[in-house]
Amino acid sequence: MTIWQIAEYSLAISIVALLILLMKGVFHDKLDARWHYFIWLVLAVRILVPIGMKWMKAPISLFQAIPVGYWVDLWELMAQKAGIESVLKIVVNIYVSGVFALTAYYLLISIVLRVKIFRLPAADEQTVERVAVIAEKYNLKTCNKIKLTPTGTPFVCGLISPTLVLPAGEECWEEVILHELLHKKYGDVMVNYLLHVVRIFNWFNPLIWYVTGVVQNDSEALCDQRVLEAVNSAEADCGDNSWEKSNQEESCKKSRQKEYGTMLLNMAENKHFGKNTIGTSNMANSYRSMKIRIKRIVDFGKVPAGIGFAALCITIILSISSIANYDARKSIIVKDIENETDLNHAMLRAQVFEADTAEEAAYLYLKAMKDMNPMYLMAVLPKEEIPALEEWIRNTYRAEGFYHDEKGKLMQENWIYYKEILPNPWFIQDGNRMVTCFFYNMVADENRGSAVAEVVFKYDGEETSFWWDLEFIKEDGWKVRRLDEKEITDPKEMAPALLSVSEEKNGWMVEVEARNEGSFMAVFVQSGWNFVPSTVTGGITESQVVDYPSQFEDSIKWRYAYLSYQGEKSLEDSMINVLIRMYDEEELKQNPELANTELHEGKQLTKEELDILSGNTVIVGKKQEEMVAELKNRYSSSDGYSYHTFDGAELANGKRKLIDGSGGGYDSWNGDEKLHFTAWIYCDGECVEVIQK
Amino acid sequence: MTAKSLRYIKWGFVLMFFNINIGRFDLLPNFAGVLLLIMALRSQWEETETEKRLEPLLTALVIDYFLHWIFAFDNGVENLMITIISIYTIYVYLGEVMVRVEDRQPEIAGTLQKVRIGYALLQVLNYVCGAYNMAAIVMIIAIGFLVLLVVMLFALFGIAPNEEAEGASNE
Repeated sequence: MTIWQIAEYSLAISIVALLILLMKGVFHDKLDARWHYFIWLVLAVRILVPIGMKWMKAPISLFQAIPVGYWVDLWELMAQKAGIESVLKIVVNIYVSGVFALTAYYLLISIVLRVKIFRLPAADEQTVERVAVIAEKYNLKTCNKIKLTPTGTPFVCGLISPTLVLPAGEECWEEVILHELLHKKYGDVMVNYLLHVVRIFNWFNPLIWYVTGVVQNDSEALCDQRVLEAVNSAEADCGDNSWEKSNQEESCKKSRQKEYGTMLLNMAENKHFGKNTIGTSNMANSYRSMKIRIKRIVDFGKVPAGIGFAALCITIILSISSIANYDARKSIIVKDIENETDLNHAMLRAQVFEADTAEEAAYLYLKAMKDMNPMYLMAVLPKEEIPALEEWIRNTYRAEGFYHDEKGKLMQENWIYYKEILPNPWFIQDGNRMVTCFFYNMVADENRGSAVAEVVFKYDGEETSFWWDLEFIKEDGWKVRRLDEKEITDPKEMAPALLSVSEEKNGWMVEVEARNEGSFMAVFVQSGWNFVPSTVTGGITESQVVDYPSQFEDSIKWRYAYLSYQGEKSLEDSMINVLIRMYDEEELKQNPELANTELHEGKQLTKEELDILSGNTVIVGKKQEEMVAELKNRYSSSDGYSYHTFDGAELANGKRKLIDGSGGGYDSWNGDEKLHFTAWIYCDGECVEVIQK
Repeated sequence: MTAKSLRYIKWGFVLMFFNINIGRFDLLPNFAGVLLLIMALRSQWEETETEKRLEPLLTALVIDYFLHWIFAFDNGVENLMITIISIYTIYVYLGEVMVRVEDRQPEIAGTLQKVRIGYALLQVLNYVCGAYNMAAIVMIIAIGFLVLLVVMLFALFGIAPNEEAEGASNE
């Protein structure tokens, strides 16, 4: 655990604690003590759920509005740049020492208290009997150990076998004993322990000390409410239900509340050794805390009826908002850069960005090229390439990247690539504009990935196309490295295949290749300066989601089939017809009949059908086009078939002919799948070969 | 419940839950709806303790909705707080209307009880599922809200004013 993780964790729970305090302020007299206590579950959720959890999303997230993780990442990066690692090590040591020291302190006072309690005299039989009677009256369990203290107020101490400590020399009120027994029943001592654990790990954070105090007080306030509920319920059970009796009961309730409040005030600031100690629940408290408890007692019964459900809904929403969309740190806000401070800030923001997926990283990489904006590039370059880019940015910024407009304001020009400055070919020639880009064979596992990009740049009306071999690496987030660049000289050049399979039979060779194809059309839709990945959907408008996709707009499986002939027979003046069916392992598993060479209605294409398809036969009585359409439909890809006809001369000299290409679906191959095909080759109407792989 | 107050409540909820937008401009502004709900409380013969405590929250909603009506702004913390406050206020408000009518029109009180629970539940569902772009669930929630609003308006428009009884009880 680093100091930054500790800082982020403590800051995150502080933000949630502040939100809860704010909500408690809003609903101070509108919801009862139960809500005011259980709302702290939201904080418990934040404490327990690991920082940075990404699976939970919400339309409104606290940490999207207050990007704590992002701030801490920025500080961390700034600290790294400032070279204060040695100072940080000292800070870590201080933190760890603090944790140990506070733990030791709590252990010590806990042991001292136990020893003191051990030495206290046991309660007399009369007191034990009284506690037992009260416990029985309210269906509670009594304490096995009851001790008497000469000073102070009552409290319960201990987790496994709690000891009830009562003041000696005076008869305790029934409500007071009930209060402590209720603490025991609801495990408030355990809560006390947990609060101290939170304090130990956040010993440096005064807000957490304050908040844990508030939680303790809320626990007491809830116990007060439970006491009044129990007493009122016990009294109501005894009486009849007449209207007069009911009015009388109401007046009694108010009087009980008043008496209970007075009793609490008398306890305030009472000195005793059990107060505020780890592993105890104590009724007495400071005047300020008592004020809140008494206010809750006054409000008891005034909160709207049936409010529990709304309170639950509020708690659920707050809990989700405090853990959802924690990856809000990942936003790059590239503002206009007007001075070096802006530049430094922009570069820091870019460096703390973490792309969630390889696709997201690819998108930013393209956006950088399209907008000629190195900040996007910095966000997705591997760590070792950052210093060179940073240096280049600074040089460009100071040199020719900026100019002053007529009002003297510093303006930003397009980021330009100067070969003499930049050793790495991040950007293409100066002034080039990327106009289109397609992605092929995007494959990524948990840590690495690869893809080939076909990018087209335009300069002075002339277009230049390149193949880029890209590698994706998972560091903190996904990064992109360009491994190779090759200019495309033949515009018909196909993207490299991801999968391929071929089979040769009697000179006939069928090759089937497959690749994934995707594009980020939004890169070319809008050239905005702000980027927010769509994985963070909360608070982003629909148009923003369209503008900033984190995955392919289209992801299509493409399959291609080539035919070539190396045999001795001359194919000049021959009509070649090919019926081909391509399928992958998954499709074959779903439909084993695909491998049946006798399939397609139990027969091969007839000579007549081939003649019609090839236009050799003119149909009488039926329109030629209709008949051809019908046959094509019968032997079309809808049934897994694809039909093609061409002149045999096209295969002369072993030339490879593309006979089929089709794509579809919003899916992709993963690189280790198997392709299959069955091809029926007809030469002048005769089936000369059936090739299967 | 006075006729005047009832009228304010009905139109208050209509303004609050229905929006007719021309560009960014809402012809049925939410803040006006909440303002009517406050006026409805004040035109009762006597405000209950709960209603008195509800007024500051309703006022906060009026201010926030008004600012949103005038300016286009977005703040996560403010959004979160207003969502929570609106769930609470509408739930409690309908509860108070329910309490006022349950003696005379228990069936309407029962409907309002279901509506307020349904409203809070849908708000939570909307919050939990809203970020996942699940079209089917979003559609179900949207239809749920619409049904709920229609049922609520039918219930509210079905409440008969009872000025004499309330006046007499106060005397």
